[in-house]
Amino acid sequence: MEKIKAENLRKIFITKERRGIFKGEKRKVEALKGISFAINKGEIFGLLGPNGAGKTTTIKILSTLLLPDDGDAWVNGYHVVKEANKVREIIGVSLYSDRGFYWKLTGYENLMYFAYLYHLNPEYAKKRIKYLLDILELSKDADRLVEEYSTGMKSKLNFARALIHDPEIIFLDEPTIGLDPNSARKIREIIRDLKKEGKTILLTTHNMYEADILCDRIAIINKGKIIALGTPNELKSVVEKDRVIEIQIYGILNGLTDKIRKINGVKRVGLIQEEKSLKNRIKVIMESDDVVPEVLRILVSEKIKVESIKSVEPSLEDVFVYLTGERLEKEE
Amino acid sequence: MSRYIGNWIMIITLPYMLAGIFLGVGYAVGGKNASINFYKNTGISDPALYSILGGAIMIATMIILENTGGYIREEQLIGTFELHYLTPNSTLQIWFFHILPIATIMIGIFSITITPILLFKGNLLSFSEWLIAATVIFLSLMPLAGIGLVIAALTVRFKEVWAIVNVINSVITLLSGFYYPLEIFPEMVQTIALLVPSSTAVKILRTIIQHRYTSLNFGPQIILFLVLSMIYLSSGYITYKRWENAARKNGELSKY
Repeated sequence: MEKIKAENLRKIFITKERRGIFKGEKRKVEALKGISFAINKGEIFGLLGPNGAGKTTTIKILSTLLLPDDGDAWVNGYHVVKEANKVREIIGVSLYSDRGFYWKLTGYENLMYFAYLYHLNPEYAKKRIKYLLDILELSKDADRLVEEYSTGMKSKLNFARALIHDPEIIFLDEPTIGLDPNSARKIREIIRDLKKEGKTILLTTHNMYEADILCDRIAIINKGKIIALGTPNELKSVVEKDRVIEIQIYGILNGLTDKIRKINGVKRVGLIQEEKSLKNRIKVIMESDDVVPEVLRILVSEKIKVESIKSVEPSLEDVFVYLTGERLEKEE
Repeated sequence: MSRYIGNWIMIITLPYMLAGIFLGVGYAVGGKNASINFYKNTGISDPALYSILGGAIMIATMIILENTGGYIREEQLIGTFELHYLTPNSTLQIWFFHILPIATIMIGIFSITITPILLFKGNLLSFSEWLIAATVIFLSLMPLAGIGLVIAALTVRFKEVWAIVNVINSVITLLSGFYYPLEIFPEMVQTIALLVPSSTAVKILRTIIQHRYTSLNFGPQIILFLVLSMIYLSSGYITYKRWENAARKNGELSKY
């Protein structure tokens, strides 16, 4: 049974680019170029893509915050434009990791405020809030003002708010962004538990590991288009017959990936740069191992210091690199 | 309320400080005869009580305007604005009902502010007088809430709420007679001032404070409040709905 359905959704934003003090130029940004998908009851569906791919725009349309320019969408059979209030009753949405709180209220009071907005019975609301704070390990901080919360605590509180009315359908926009590994693991556990309870979840992420372990199906979205859709294994099978090597190097040279890309037998090359060190990773998707000596020859000739080279199992990242020729995310 | 104690102290004491400034300026300009001149020009014998009362209403007016318009801007900045649109409610109703407790609090603040000066003058209000004063304040704040909703609508679009609020506050302050009687202005200005609900509220409250109230006096003014409330609240509703719709189309709801 389809719980969420999107048909040919399109969205164009008009942005204004400043040119000097008084001049400005309008520019059209096509955020969604006609995306369609359907999500079944009890499914965790991932929208995987880089920043600016259209993930959040999709969630905002489905959660009635944004009107599409074209196309239709239904949540639990309700049209997101024509029956917005009915949609709002059954969805829980987590949009930001650390925004969206009243700083001078406690964590508990923030949740209670939203419980009232969802017309929850006060007694039920108290029990529900206690339950959510317990599972998110926030109970001991419930009576502290939110202005004293850490980023991770605010992320958890945000997650609790999305679940306050025990919604049937949940939209989670980058739910673990900014969280430490332990907190991120906790959130993932809860997402799995929600699935066990029969909730339908739409999850956006640019974290491939998260998408891989959580999602039943994934749509890879790039530049406003869905470029692939399937189970994690189906998606990975796109590159299964190919060989993937990962080369860890120090530093990088302009045009290096282009040179590797030109080698006969190389299908795709992705560069993953680390922000906090000089280390970089190059992923090469190729037809066979015969290509490896030629790749190494280029690295040696360019005097690139190679730390390691290894064969790796295809991941969703490789699928993304394969499909778009671009890397998906930066390493944290 | 205990989390904003500094604000409350400021709101309660500000009318006294502003009255002090005006009385000081008056004395500097008029010297020893300042009070006599003020009485001759305006017919008001107690400028201190007059200014404190005017200041108390001015603060209530400003707070309602800033809270209706500014509240939404605040919500945008902290990220809670958009979240209200995820709940199954009319957001316009949420903003409007948010004003009611503030209006009620303003009545309390007004009472606390004017009590010391009335006590000092041995001129405390009876319960029925206070009740009428409270009703007048409440009714006069409703049209302002309508103006606040127009500001809120403009805020959703233009973001610069304080620029708009300050201009409107200045006009309201000029035409309300918080610190001078409007009779010093030409008749045309006095007529325009009728569109500003606080101008009528100031007149009524000063009459009550001077114990010159009779139950028949205020009928037309109450009707004026109701008419102004209808006009401004309708304008606020229409403007806000229009901008809200535009904001959902162009993504402005999320911007801050």
